Amino acid sequence: MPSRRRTLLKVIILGDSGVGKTSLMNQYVNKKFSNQYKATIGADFLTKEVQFEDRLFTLQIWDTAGQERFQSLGVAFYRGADCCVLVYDVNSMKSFDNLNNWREEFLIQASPSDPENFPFVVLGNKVDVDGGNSRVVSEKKARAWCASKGNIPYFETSAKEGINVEEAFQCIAKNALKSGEEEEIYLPDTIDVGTSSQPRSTGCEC
Amino acid sequence: MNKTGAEDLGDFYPIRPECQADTPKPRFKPRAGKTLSERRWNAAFSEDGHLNIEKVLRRIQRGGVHPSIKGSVWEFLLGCFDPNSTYDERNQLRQHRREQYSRWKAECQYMVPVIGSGKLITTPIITDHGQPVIDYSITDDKGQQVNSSFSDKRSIQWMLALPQIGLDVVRTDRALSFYESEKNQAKLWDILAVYAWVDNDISYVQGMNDICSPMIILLENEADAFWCFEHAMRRLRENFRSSASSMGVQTQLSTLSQVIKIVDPKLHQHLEDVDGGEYLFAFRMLMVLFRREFSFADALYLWELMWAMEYNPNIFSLYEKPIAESDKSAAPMLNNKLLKQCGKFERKKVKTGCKDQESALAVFLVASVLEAKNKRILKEAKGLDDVVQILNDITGNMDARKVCKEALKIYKKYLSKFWNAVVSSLSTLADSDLDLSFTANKYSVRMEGNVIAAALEKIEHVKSPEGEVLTMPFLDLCKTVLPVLDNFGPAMAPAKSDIGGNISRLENMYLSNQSEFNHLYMIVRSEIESKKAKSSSSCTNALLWLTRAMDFLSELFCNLLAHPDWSMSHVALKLAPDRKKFMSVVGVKGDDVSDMEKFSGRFSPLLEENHKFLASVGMDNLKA
Repeated sequence: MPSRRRTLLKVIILGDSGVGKTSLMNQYVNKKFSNQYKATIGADFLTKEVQFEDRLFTLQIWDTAGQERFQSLGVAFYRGADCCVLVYDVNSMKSFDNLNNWREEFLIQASPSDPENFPFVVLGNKVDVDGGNSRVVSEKKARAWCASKGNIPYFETSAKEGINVEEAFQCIAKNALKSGEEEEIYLPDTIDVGTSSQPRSTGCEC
Repeated sequence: MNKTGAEDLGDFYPIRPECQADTPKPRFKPRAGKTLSERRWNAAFSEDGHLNIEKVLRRIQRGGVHPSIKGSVWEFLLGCFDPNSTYDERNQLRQHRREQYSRWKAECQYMVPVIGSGKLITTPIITDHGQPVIDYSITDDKGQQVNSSFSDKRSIQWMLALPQIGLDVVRTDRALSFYESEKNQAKLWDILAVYAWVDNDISYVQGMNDICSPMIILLENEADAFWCFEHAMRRLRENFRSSASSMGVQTQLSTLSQVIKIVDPKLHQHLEDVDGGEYLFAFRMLMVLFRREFSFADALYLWELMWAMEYNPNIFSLYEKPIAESDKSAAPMLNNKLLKQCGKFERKKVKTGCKDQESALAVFLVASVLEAKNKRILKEAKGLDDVVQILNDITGNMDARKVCKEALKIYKKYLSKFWNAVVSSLSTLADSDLDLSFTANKYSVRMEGNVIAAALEKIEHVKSPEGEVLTMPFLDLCKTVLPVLDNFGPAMAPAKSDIGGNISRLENMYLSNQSEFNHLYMIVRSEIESKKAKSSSSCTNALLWLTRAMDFLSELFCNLLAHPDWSMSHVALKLAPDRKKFMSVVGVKGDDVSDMEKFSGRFSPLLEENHKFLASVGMDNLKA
């Protein structure tokens, strides 16, 4: 289904339980926050149409379960991902410490063709909580980690207040698109003669 | 109650006003004359408290249980209590269990004082190495949530699970007014925490909160709710077992894939083509038993329908044994009276002799949902994502009773189709231009007497003193065991006649020159010399297929011996007749399988010898 491949961008959201993965996805896609979300079991996804230049893409965002025990399912769900979003809660040191595990586990399970340059985006969520007073992970610390992992783009968000969510996902979509197009070069049988490849750049241009 | 006999459920499971718009509306309505009512329930008990479970099950399977009595009915459906006990006996047991729960809870409380305090925790209280985490927001003396540092693995693992339980509890069924109360949330947290402590093998896995939540709403006493949950977990806990490479529920998913492959091969093929071969799209349905696909009230209705259909009167005694001792085969046999006390699904299952957990009704419920969406999946699904999407669309739109009814139909269809599949695979063993002169009459061996004893006697004479396989004794032996296939019903007849045809062809060859073909392998050697061996009508071919058919029978015997409960893991036996009947027909009296063991132990090496010989002359992999 080559036509499908070209217009579909697959994004995976990973991170500890309760950091706000489902809320972020829903805030971006449905522009609303609910306090009714339940713990995600297995994996689920939402889609959103995005436009770049004059081309239309479907962003397919996969939300996953946060408990480590579900990680073995990753192989099936991570397959074909174009971008991976790592989420932590700025009020939880443990969720930040675990980013490394989530990143490594993703690279093992998804086994992308070019792991060194596979696009990740990191989101520090829940910046609204308690007016920032309960925050335990500083922006500086988070940015330093992102820099050490090949300049991963970083955003501080609040899914509840809708802060920075749109911006973050624009960057996610852009990175997914880049990665998707490069993949087409690696896999000659899925080349779309109509697309042109762009030079790689790390970090986010947005 | 209004005129149509249906009443509103809103009073039983009130929804928070601000959540009403986003919550699927329940479809279940208690129906007069169908739903088990409080009056009928009370009337089903004898004076001293014996419950007429048969009568009650009939009702529940028709229309569920009225919300006012769900808790006490569930205790029986889940096997917490024996319907055959008195009020006094049950009160004693309840008291005993409540005390047990208190003891466990006290152990937990001793380590983590928040347990039982009406509060819960959502953040880590110890490090991965067991050191207490200091939390300065806590105003008590040391800012610690634990009483000391712990070094034993069990305690550490348990304490590490507590924040995860907390994070999920605060998100459980938040639309229900019931969970607005912090006290009720803490109750859910306590029960899950105590469970994780007691069942440290499984501990806590996301999704268990969805299973536990209704119990707390239905049973007011915390200990009673715990035991109800604990009994539900006995059926479900394997799904929650996780390893580095898989989740337990994947066993049920692979059974599901087997089922769909047989009842709807086209759908199965399509799912494989779109990379859904592992059926992970059904993960959530099985894991939390459709809690996410149905409204709260409808999920409860579905559960009680399901548990009623799966009900087995031995469930209580089976559960009363410690887990380690519960050897399935030791369960008391079901007589006709007890069989009537089984739910619809269980009765069918018992009759076909299968007792395993993988083929739970839940698997067939998922199959029924897939079948309901069959057309859309075939037409629209081009990837795993589309399948997930189509299944997400069912949320709030399925009728629980209909799903159950279809599931039972699929189960029946599965059983019958399965056998046909076995037969057709068997009949391909035989080649097309058989010696049609074979008649069933000529070779039918009368079944009276003892097949196994007769076969055992015959196998003694198959080899000459020099160790050569003798033609006639070998064919005789095959003829002796062949009628075993009769037990599989008329469906097996074609396969049986094909096998008989092979015997007949070899026998005719022998009769044409008894001295030359006294040794079975001489027939093959002579055909190789005359370059006839590879022909489809050769005796070599006949011997090969005969040996392969006998492999099947030999395998069957081994299976019978290895799996006294006709394990479902051995697909070929899923549709086999009732084991007891089968055993009696082949001549095994009672449970004395020693003859069968002896025979089996000799038969398969003999067949192996045939294969080795055929392989040595390059004839062991001829195609039909």
